[in-house]
Amino acid sequence: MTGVGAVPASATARRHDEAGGWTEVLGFVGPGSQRIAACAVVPDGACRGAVVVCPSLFNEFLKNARREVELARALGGAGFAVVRLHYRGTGHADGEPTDTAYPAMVADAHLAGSWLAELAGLAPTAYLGTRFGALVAASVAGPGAALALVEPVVSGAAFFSEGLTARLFAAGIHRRSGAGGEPRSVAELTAELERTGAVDVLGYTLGLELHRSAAEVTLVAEVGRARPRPLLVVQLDAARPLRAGLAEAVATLTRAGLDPEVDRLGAKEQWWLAEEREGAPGEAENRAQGLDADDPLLTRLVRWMAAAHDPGDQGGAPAPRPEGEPR
Amino acid sequence: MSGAGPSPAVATTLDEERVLVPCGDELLSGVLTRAADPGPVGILFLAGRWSVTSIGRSRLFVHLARRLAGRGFASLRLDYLGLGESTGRERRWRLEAPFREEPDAAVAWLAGRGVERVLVVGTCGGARLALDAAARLPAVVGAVLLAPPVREYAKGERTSSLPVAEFLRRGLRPAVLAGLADRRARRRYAHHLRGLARRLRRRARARLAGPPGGRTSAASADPASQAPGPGPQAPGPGPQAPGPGPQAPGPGPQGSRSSGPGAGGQTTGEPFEWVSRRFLGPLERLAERGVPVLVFFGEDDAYYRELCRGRAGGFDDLLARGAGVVELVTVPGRFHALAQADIGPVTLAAVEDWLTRHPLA
Repeated sequence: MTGVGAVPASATARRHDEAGGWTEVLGFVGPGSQRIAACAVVPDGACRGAVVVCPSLFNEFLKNARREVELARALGGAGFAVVRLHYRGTGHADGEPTDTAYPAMVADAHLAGSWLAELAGLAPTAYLGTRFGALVAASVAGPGAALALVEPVVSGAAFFSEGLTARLFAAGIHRRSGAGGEPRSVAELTAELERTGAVDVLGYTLGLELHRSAAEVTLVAEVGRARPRPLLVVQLDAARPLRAGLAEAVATLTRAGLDPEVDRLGAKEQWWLAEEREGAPGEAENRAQGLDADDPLLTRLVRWMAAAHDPGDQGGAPAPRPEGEPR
Repeated sequence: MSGAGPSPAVATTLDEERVLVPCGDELLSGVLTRAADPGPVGILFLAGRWSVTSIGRSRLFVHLARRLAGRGFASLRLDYLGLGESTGRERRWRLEAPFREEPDAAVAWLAGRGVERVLVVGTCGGARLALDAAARLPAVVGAVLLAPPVREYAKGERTSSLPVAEFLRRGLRPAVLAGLADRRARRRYAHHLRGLARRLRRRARARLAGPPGGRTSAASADPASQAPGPGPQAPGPGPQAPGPGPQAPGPGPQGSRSSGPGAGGQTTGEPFEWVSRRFLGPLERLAERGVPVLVFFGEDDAYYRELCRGRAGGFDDLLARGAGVVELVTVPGRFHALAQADIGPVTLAAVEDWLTRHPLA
């Protein structure tokens, strides 16, 4: 493919935020036509840390995207270099959903971290993952790196089961034509996945390769292997105790000496079914993920990252910059 | 070249560029996909309300952009203000007043890149942006409206904006009554009832404030017809014979618009219409100008059912008078939520088929 009119071949875009004191770089990263899409935020002054943000998949990827953009910008304002990515087969990256596999997602997160290191001159010091992205973040994090897990799934199998259950629920809501031939259980959908190589999860393709490669992955095993320090686990639901599966995982990690900090913040998130019904209560709020400055999750994560990199800092203020250096 | 052919190459990120499109004081993040053998027309994708509009639900725009590049169409997909990686603040969606900043900025930016003729492709609320842009901007030479809302209502109030009689009729259906046993369904019903109450209060206040206005004409209800700016484009190539696929015009399953007691309550305060003048007006202008438009629905889409209820109120006339310039195409099942993994191939097939009849050369 060549061009349209006189389009230059540059593949990246840059924007400097004067008020925030950082530059945002959007690009495609990687070899040949197997590139990820990535967006880095690089502070103007010295970096106090470098953070890789690992998103979730399917509906959750889009649903949480703006929140992750806002988080990256806020962290940039606090002196951190940050990179977000679209795994191959997702978002703007190359590839088809059926190509997606867990080891490739982990490799993509490594690649994003390497790109950030090139841009910011600092190798990743912290990882943050939401939902399924928490597994990836834990897989990529090395010993001693800070690790923040937001609404982590406890295993790949649990995540897929939730998604397939949501599909069954949505099919019931919409009474889709041909519903008589629709699979009626997670087991039937899993059998369809094995038979056909792919299954639809509310508009997204779950491929057999991803299912097979991630079904056995567990949060406890990945975090246990990484041995991050410090470790934060956030549940988005302040009103209820920690969910059973997550509480069990946290207890196991605590027994393993990882000493996780656990926070319950904000309101419960409808990860799978938002946008599925028009006018459902709370849907508008779920749809609008743009966060205000006082969003409790954003504030908490920025403060936690600051404290993780400088235990004396609880406020998330940026590191001192050299005299006369522009912000 | 623009048009169908055997298995064109699929673009990759090697053919793409991350871009920032100026929009007032803000920047819209987007992706420009270059074409293999660039034709004279580029595509602008306009999503409905969703957090990363440059990708689209089910990755629809990524799928279309990379495949239509092989057909000679460069394209731009972008995040609206305050969404995705764009700057600025998210705004409230208003179907009666579609955003103009983003389409205008994108069309101007494409022109600066040598793409002076644009096909707009929009989904849901984005289809209304596309319709509005097509009716206003001379550079737009075609529009694909994927599951467009055919009337106006406030966000989350599609059901509660129905005429009271229709609202009650639906509320008394056995399935709804059975839903009263379910806590989540009860919450949803309560939400609809609150919306209805708000609407009736607004109507009562409006009546107290002054005499009701008369029925709005297509021209006066069509914001595009009142917008300052360039006049209508010179008519393009004459109407083309409809090919296989589009539906023949004909009366809808049920009657026309309702304007009796209990009607009204769309966000505009105008009498209730299943298919609004604000939707029909720009379509009529495009038909007159010979700008081809594809209107595409899933047969189970709520918007399509509303179109069927109101198509005798003007839409069928439009299809007949448009002589193929405005086409209605449907596919079985549900399309609107873009919640099926095969939505990309289904949409691509419809657009490619339409392009064989309207090559936009």
